[in-house]
Amino acid sequence: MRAQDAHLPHDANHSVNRRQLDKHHVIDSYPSDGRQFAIITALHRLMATLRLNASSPLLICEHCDSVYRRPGLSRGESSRCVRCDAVLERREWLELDGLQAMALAGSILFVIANSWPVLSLGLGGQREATTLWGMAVFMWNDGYPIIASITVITLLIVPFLRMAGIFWLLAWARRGRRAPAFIGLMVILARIKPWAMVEVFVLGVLVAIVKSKAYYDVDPGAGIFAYAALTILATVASSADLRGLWDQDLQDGPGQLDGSSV
Amino acid sequence: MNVPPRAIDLGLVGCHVCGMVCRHKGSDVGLACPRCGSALHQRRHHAYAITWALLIAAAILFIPANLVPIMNTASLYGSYDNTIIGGVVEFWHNKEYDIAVVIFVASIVVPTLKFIALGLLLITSKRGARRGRRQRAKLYRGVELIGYWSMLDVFVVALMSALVHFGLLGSAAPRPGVIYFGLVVVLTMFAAMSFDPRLIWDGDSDDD
Repeated sequence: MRAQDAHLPHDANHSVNRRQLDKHHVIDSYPSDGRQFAIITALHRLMATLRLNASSPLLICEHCDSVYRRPGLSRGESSRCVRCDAVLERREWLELDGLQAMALAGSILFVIANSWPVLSLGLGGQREATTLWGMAVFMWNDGYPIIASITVITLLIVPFLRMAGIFWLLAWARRGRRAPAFIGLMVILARIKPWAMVEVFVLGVLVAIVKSKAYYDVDPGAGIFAYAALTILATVASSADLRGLWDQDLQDGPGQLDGSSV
Repeated sequence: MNVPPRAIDLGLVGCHVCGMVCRHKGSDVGLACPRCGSALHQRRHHAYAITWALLIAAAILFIPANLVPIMNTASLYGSYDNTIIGGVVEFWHNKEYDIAVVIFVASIVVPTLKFIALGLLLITSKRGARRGRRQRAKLYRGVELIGYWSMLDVFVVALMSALVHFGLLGSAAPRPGVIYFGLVVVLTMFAAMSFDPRLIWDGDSDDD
């Protein structure tokens, strides 16, 4: 397709009514009022010099490079790419308040999960218990620093950074403000996302329980219950499409995580 | 169906971190997103070479990961070095079929599928194959989704080794196989990340 005659279809697979979509055309159709016209033209010129599109009325599918006009989504809706079927954008069922509550609960659970043992084994009057940190320390001291590092990064640092980071960002976003260190934090959260492995660890503990129940008296600690609960919260909070926050400062007052600001 | 245009044809680049859409033509070397500062790529540089390198390295490490024991367990009955497949067989013999299947899938099937899937994606994309592009795009997202579950056995070994210290009655200790295995998972995850799924759709025609 040639660039000159390119047109941008609206037919991403989502159900939005016409009026909602039209709202997003404002950026292209200059208002008749002369003063506003001048302001917008100046804004566009400024954006053009910065090679920016004013507040991104466009959306590019990161999986196949397809370009769309940004659809307006209602709660719980998501848009999918017509070319490759990847999710383009999602608007959460939970609004900012709900998400922030999730992130706070997750951070607290995280402290509990790491303060109590995940598992303890008993045999003939002896009892051995370990926390997640104890497990990493043991592996480090036993000559396996790589495994210890993988454990600490994927089960401690990354999940906690995500929970606490989301909480911090949302705490400011709810007041319609950008959090201090917003850019750095958003970039870090996006980059570390694939490295959170809490759910794998929970399954691993289940395997360890089955493995040892024939020989030992197995007692799951408070830590693993907290981790199991954390898995659910982390899945909800981490699936949040935080990218909407990038546009949020263009809105008045508390915004929504739908990324469709104009 | 109305096929949407592609960013590279329109002279646009999308930021993978923040979603910003930028106008840009020409070389994208050293280009940074004006909003979040992340590197902008029309296509990830050297995606084929880097992904192949990581994938082959992971495939090589996968051999010792399976041959070298991952854990040693000792009790009054003797001392045993366990490999991954040995653990699966043991569970199977003890009639713990569900756990045997879980470990087998996470430790053997998932990594193997990742090697095959990524290899297939690399070869077909390089050739500009047109068939099944949508399916291959889904395959790539599937690889990203299941990849980290292979870490299961690594966590089990770390947990058991930290817990089972009952002297002569029973003890467990890690063995070097677990390092190879952990590295296989990390390398395949990096391989999946360095592949650029947009390459699946590059080719002489946009029609699927």
